[in-house]
Amino acid sequence: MSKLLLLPHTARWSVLALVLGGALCVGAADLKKVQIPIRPIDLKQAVKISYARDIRPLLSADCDECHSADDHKAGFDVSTVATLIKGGKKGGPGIVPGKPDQGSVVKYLRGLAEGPQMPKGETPLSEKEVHLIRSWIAAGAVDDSANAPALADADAVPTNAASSLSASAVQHWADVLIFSQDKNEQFAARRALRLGLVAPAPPPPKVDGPAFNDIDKFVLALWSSAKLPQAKNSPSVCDDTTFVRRVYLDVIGVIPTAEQSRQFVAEKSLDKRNKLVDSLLARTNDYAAHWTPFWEDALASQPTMGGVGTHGDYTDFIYKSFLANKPYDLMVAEILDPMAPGYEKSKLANANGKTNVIGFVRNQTHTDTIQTAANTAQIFLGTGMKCASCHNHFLNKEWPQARFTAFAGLFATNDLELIRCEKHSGHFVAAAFPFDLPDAPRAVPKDLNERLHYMTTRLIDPANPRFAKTIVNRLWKRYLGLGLFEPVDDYRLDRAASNPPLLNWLADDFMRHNYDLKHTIRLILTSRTYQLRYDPSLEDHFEVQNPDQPRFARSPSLRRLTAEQFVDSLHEAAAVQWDTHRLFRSVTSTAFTRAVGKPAARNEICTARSDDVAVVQSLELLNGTELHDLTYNGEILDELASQTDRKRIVDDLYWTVLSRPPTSRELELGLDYLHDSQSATPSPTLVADAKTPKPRDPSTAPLGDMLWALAVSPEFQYIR
Amino acid sequence: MKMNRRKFLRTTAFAAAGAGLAHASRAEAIATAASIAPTADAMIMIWLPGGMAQTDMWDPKEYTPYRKGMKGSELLGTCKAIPTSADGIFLGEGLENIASVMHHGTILRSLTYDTKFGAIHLKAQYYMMTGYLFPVGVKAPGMGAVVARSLGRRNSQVPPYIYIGRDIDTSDEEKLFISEYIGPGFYGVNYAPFMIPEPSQGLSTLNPAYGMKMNRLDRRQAYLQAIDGASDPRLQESQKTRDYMKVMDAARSMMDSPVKKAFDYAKDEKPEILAAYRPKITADQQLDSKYYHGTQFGEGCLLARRLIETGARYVQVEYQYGPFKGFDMHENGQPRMAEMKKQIDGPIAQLIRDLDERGLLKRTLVCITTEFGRTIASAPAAGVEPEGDAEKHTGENLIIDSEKMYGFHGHFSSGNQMLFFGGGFKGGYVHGKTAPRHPMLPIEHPVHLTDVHATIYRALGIPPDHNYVTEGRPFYVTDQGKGQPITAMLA
Repeated sequence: MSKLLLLPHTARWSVLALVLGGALCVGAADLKKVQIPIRPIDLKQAVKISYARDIRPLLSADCDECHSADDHKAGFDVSTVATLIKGGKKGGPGIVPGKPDQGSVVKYLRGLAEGPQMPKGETPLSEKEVHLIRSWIAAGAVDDSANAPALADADAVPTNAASSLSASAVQHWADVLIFSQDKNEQFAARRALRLGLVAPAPPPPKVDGPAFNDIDKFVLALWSSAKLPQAKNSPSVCDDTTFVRRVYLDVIGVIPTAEQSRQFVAEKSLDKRNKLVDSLLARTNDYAAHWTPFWEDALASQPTMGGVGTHGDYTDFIYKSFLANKPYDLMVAEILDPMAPGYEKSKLANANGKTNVIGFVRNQTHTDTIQTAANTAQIFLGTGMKCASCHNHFLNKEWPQARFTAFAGLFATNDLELIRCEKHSGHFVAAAFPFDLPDAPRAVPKDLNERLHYMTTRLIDPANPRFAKTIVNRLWKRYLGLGLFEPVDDYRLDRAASNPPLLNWLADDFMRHNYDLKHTIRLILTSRTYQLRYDPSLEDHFEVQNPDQPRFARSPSLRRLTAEQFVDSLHEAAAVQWDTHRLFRSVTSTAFTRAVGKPAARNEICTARSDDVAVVQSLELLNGTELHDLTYNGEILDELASQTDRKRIVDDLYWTVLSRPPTSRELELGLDYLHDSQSATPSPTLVADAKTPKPRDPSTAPLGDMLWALAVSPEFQYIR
Repeated sequence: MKMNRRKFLRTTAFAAAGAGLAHASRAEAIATAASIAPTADAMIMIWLPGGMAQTDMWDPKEYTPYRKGMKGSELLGTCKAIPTSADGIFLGEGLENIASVMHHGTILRSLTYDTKFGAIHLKAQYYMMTGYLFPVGVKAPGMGAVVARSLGRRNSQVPPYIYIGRDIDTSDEEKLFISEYIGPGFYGVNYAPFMIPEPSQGLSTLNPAYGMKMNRLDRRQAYLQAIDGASDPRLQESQKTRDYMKVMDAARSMMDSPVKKAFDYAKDEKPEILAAYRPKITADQQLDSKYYHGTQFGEGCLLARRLIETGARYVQVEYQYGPFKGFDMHENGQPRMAEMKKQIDGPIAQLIRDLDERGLLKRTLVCITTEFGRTIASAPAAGVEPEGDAEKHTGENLIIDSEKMYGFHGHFSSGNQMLFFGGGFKGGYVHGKTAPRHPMLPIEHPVHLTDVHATIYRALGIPPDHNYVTEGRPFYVTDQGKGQPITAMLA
């Protein structure tokens, strides 16, 4: 007997369309009765229906408000199978097991009973929903809620027919899932099996035009369909000096040295750009260091704060995860799921006799839980649900409050109450994952750890359309300046992505490469699209007021350096050691680091640093001692000063700071500055204070001035 | 009748669709409230964190001197009440200077919080400064940022939000937390405060680093402009890089602006004025000689006045918070209160007098506050706090054994007090009343912080539901936009 047959649950019930929520958003109710037709019941299928998974959530969404244990209108309570059978004051038993059309419930739902059709004043249930309920009753109305937790993981194993994997592959992964003692192997097996259920994304279109890889084909196809002139006459790629700087900043977060840039430009091989991308991705420490601040912001990572509970200190976890190039789904599971292989445990901190949970998942209070759910949705599903935490989302009909509250319930030990704008409703919403996934059991376990496991399993499931799209979209934004959907934290069904086929394909490709971030990053960085020249006349923009303005990716969008990129790169330019003490490691917040955008504390999650310019920041660049110390004290000044050929000095300075040679005009300006400084009497000197480690020879001051000017110039401050 | 859930959704969804981004009622409210003329153009916030014993300051009760073994219920006040320039209003002894300007001010005695902060100062401070309970789910802006963004600059050369008296460079976790809640939150760096840790040092970035000569600084600036002009034309055509360079120029102009002169107080002011802003106690006269910020607070008040004269919109002066220091008193409450009064009484009163003499008080709101009040502690040894239920203590079971335990040492979230001078607030007015015995709860006109913020914003002409959109939704200047101004406090 095949092991597969031992599994308790392999039914494939097509899922009810958005049971929670979807039905809430229909147009004005028609109070006229709508008779719902019935069809014959197939008992072989009917026995596979689970009360806990299929029926209870349906009743919860449509009936609980008036017919629950707390509020049993007409004496009727649908919250248990027993009370369902019992029925209300009128109409006899609610259901009669084995006899789908005898009880009052089906009559009321179908609009056949005396009095209003149920749910009262609402859109009636669909034929499919009624059929589901009738089938369950016909099969005996079995209450399987006690067994529900056991069902939690079984849904991973698909029937042979459903999977795009071969039968032997399904068997192999199923064996691993069931019999392996290694949690990591089980994790991979589950992913593989679930991925088998997902239909592959349509392949890249055939296009006529220059393409370095598949990404470019999607982009070209978009240009063609929009009839843009660039479809026939593609904009050119950036030059080598621009590329080397761009890709260093993007992969390791630090500019190249003069030598690295010169070497790259001089190199003749045709695939040198791809080779450079690979060699930078292989610098694992620097790669991990560059990713860390982004995720620190996104997870609101910080140590404890004077008795105030925080979201935990994830700095080392993030760094190590990227160092190991951990699969992205596993990394997320380790943050959220206490049953995940390498779960990063929340800590408890005592402050003045009170214990606070210190971790990303916090559920000590209703507010903590709601915020954790909203944060999880925002970071990992790119979906803004905060509005729905207090009331139905006014602007995004996808998120009625109950749908969000059901999701939030997965982060708590109990189902959560609907608290609308601080008013308690007394109505508790059954915890449920908000997206329907094939074969996923609806029964939600009771134990908190199991609930978080249940939630995470669905969150990272390949069949969950938003998880992979959200991260590949973040990668796209990170490297091209704007996401394929924007805002990247607010994916909306009613707002198309700028290139939906590309988004789909990128997400699918990412999943099929086992959620390997480096794979997709490499793909993006080696695309022609990424390597296009910056051109403000072709640059995309996103404005909240005009969200549907198309974006074509004909030029990267200009990106401001983050505080970490700026400070670490400045160390590189000034020849001050940076790799062992990058800014993200510094625990000291200063006026300078705050002005250039590193937060003092991370009280709330955030996925985008502001690129605003402000006087408070410019004054720090102009007169701040911290920047001054950096630009006027590096070894680079001695190195430059030791040269006698001034042209060579200016040339070196440009290569060092801006990764390129100066133009003749720039050379002239540099020579003039050096000349004028010499003739200025008395020679400008620095007044060094105790903070200045090694006062330089005053003759280096003009070089320091030039280094400063290049470092605060727009070309240094922005990635083009 | 319970509103049908689905119907509610449908109605609100349609309403929202009709009104565009905000709902219709809000849009109307903004229109109405905006037509109310402001009574203040500028604001000085005197921020005295630590949790101030209100009964020793603004709300004196019967003076009950120390007696070994006295019950907590017998400890009502550690100082005498003194009359003020406003009939019928009394303050705690040691505040003679503030008492002399009390006819200009309003005392709010009945601020109360539903949330009991227990031992956690930071959350209460966050609440006072942002109007929202931590954690909010959004990076909430501090009050200074709200005022700066809503009203903009009063003088184009003067930063709208200036903060005096707090360390800039730190790795201390509590201080980092504070830096965030006094900051601009999601408003971004444009509304960040200009930090002046020590008034005598001025705003350091208005001066060249390490005394670089101005002509060299300008030559360097000219070189920056020249190389920018010689760079890739595509880069120069970008709006972002143009804005960036424009702000670099603006920063340079600010170095010549009148705001710089505000720091020259030691040179400009008369000796008697300078003296009035100095603390009336020296470090070695204090129980803890280490927690003493010298002239920082007093001169901060003086500097605040000069910045307001120059055209600042919002200035906050802090007596720098230190856990278990200053107003955070868990032992020796009586002598320590006397010490703190000697540091703040003179400067605050002189600030009010100066503003009044210059005719500025009328249009400048001065607000004085702390994060919560204090009561007798259930266990007054340092560090042990009643966990949120101080408000229930009558003191019957508390025996005060030593002078060290004589004072108000327990955190009290149910009763906090604030002072307002000028800017359209009444003079010589007291709002609310607290019980004469423990727990000294507000017994008349209890008010909530949201409404206090709404009152401050009303004076400044900012509607309580004024908002800025973040993450696709409006974020209001008072909690949920629901603050109601307490008109009784306004003239």
